[in-house]
Amino acid sequence: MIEVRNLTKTYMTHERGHTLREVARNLIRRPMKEITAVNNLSFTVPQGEMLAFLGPNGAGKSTTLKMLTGVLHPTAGEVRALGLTPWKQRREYVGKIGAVFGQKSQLLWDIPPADAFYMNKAIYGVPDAEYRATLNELVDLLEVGDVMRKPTRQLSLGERMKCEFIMAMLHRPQLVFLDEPTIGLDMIAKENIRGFIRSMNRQGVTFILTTHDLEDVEMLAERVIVINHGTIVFDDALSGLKSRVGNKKSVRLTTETAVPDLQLQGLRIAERLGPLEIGVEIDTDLLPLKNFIREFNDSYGIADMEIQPIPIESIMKELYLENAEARSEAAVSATK
Amino acid sequence: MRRLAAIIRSIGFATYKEWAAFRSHMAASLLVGPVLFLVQVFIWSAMFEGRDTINGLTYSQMLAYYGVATLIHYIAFDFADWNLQMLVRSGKFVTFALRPLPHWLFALSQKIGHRSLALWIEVLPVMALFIFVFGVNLKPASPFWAIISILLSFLMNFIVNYCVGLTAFWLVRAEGVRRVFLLLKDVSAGVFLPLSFFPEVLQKVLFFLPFQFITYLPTRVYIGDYELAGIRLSIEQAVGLQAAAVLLAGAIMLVLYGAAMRRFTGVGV
Amino acid sequence: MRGIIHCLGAVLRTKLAEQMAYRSHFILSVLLLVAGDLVVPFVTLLIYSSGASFPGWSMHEALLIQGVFALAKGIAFPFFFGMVGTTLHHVREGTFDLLLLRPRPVMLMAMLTGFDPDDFGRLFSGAVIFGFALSGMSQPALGAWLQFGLLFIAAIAILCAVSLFLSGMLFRWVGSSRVFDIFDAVTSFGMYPGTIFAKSLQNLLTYVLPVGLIAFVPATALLGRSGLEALWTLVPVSLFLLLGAVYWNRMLKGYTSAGG
Repeated sequence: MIEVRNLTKTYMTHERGHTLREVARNLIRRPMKEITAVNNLSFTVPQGEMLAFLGPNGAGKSTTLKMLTGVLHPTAGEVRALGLTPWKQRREYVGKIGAVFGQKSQLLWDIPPADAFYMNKAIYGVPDAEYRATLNELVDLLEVGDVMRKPTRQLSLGERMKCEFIMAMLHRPQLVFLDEPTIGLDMIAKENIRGFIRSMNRQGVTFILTTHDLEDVEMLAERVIVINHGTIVFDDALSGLKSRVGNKKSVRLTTETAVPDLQLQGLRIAERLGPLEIGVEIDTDLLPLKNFIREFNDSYGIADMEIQPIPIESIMKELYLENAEARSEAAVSATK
Repeated sequence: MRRLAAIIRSIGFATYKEWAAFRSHMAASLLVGPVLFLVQVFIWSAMFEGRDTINGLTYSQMLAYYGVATLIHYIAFDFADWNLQMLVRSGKFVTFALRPLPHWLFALSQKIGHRSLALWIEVLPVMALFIFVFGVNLKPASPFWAIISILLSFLMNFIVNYCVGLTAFWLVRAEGVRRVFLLLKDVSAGVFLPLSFFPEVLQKVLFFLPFQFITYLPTRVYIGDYELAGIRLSIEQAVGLQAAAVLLAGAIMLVLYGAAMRRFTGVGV
Repeated sequence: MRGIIHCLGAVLRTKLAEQMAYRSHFILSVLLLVAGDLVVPFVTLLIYSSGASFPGWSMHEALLIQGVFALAKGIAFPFFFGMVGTTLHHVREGTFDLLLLRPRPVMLMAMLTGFDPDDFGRLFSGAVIFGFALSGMSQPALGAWLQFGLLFIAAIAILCAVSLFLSGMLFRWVGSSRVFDIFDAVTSFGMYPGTIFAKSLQNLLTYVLPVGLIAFVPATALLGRSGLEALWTLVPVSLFLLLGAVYWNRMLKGYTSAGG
């Protein structure tokens, strides 16, 4: 459905100073700098998949997304999506896709969503009967029958987001891009939105999602692509992401005597929560759990203990940092 | 074609509804228009003391000029430039780039909806005030040509402002330039003073600029005689010239729009 | 008082740094203000050069009024008028509460955050028109200058009061940029010789809605055409300013008690 090959985007920017002196100097000469936002990305997305893009801020996620939606030309590389090249056949392509931005509303602030829906119906040229059928289905699914007749500004963020989804799905796109779709929502609203996305996905709609909300990823995505510094650093199922960091456990324990700063293979003291309470990370391949418990009980006396798998947040953090380290190491060796 | 009409109607209607909540903002014109007009009344009644014509215009013609110019100003009023630069700066333009409709058409439909609301909130009440309170003679010389000319002025003002808004794709933070330009536009359109008051050389320049087609020409067509830079035109000729100018400006706008889209898709401003 | 000056200094510094970062924007926006201030004098010039005139007023005398008007704006606008835009923006976005959280008087905060150095550009256009007007007439006496100085301060006070009224209005009339049009329309009475208006309107423009005092009355004093009785106008000015402050505070109270 989407085929991306060697997608690259670079652009030039001005460097802008902060101090008055730099600003004064920039009056005369403005240094230019080339930025590689996206570097040689290749991947394919089959029909009906639910794919999440992850990465720290400025990693190149939104640049990639813009190229996939056809609003940005790449510097090099190819994209085929729905049988079209997005930026070349933009008008035709955008008529077939949908997009929801958590922070950029398509609704009209002062009038009810129902009116804005009607406007989009005309823009996308949806026939009357089809429009009514789709609208009814979506409205039932999202339970916004009354909501959509109130002025948008009176709606809660959750209600508004549901209407954003309807706005984006009215022309029955087969491919939908979501950018931070649950940002700022409460737990229940998030659940509703996620449920909606899942049920649309079951009908065969392909979703491409960018988010910082790892819960979105855990609940929705079958596959995760992590981008950092413009390159793909990970592309696999979410479970693969977890096993990638090895068999690690996070352990929180309270001891009878204080644990000193010790060096032990497979163990890292992550945080000190109190004089007798610490959190540690254990690589169970190097330090089997039973060994760890025995040793600690003998040395410090375990009073209380809680064992958990490593949360996905720390995995991501590691992934982002690991990549940055690799880069700075590469930079250092390059200068040598 | 029918689909296009449906698009314009639905966007226009949504905009109409959207702005109906801001009726009071529009209705401010009921104060602003007549107050500014009152000042003109005093200025010109002082100026005409002891003389019949200034620059070939009589007192009542002068008042009619300001009256008609004010009404045309309200009918053709436009903020497409502001809207577009706001969309570009906030990054919301992307939501329009993702719809299968050129944004200029969207903006024009919005203007149609916006101004149809203004017609009965601003234009007609102010017109009534001019006629019944100030006693201005607002009878058009030829209603047919006057309406055509005002519609063309509506388009011309949109085209000029939209082009100004398009500059936002290159100059992201240049609100200042745009406002200077729009002020010069109003001066050169004859909003503050009939263009026939300008020095001969300036009149010749203004004749070839698009701005006279927004206010000066339609106002003179409404009153029934057109003269600028020593050129006299019949009503039909004047409107014909205006139509040609609108076509040319429209073509330039489309070229500029194309360039702006290439820029947008190139660097993603 | 020292605290206020300190705040003002800090705001001034950040605003200037901000303007330097967008220097082209700054220069253009000054240019815009200058051009805007020159429109009415330009029109006056064109009218006079077509042979017409305000009865009893030479072109330079008429331009003197418009020059004084621009000068008064050049001083009052940077300090006071910005608060209109600030209120407009913050009330519409619902962020006015941020100003309420500062440990300073709210009115002061609104003025400070609205401080706009661009508006000093008007001093330039004002000085140009003013200088041009003075060059075409006999030089005023010292007494006339003193009287003018006093009335000019009053003119700034009026513009401050007007800013308070417009800003206060925006607590209720959310997000309407039409207040700027209303300002332009109402003050346009003040840019021309007051003698062209009907007598009753002249009185109205002096004692009730004192826009005639922004430029016409100070200019008349400079021309030596008014006696010391012109100083009586300082009374309605002080009242107007007081009223502006009271109105603003009432509107603010209405806004805060309504919960935004």
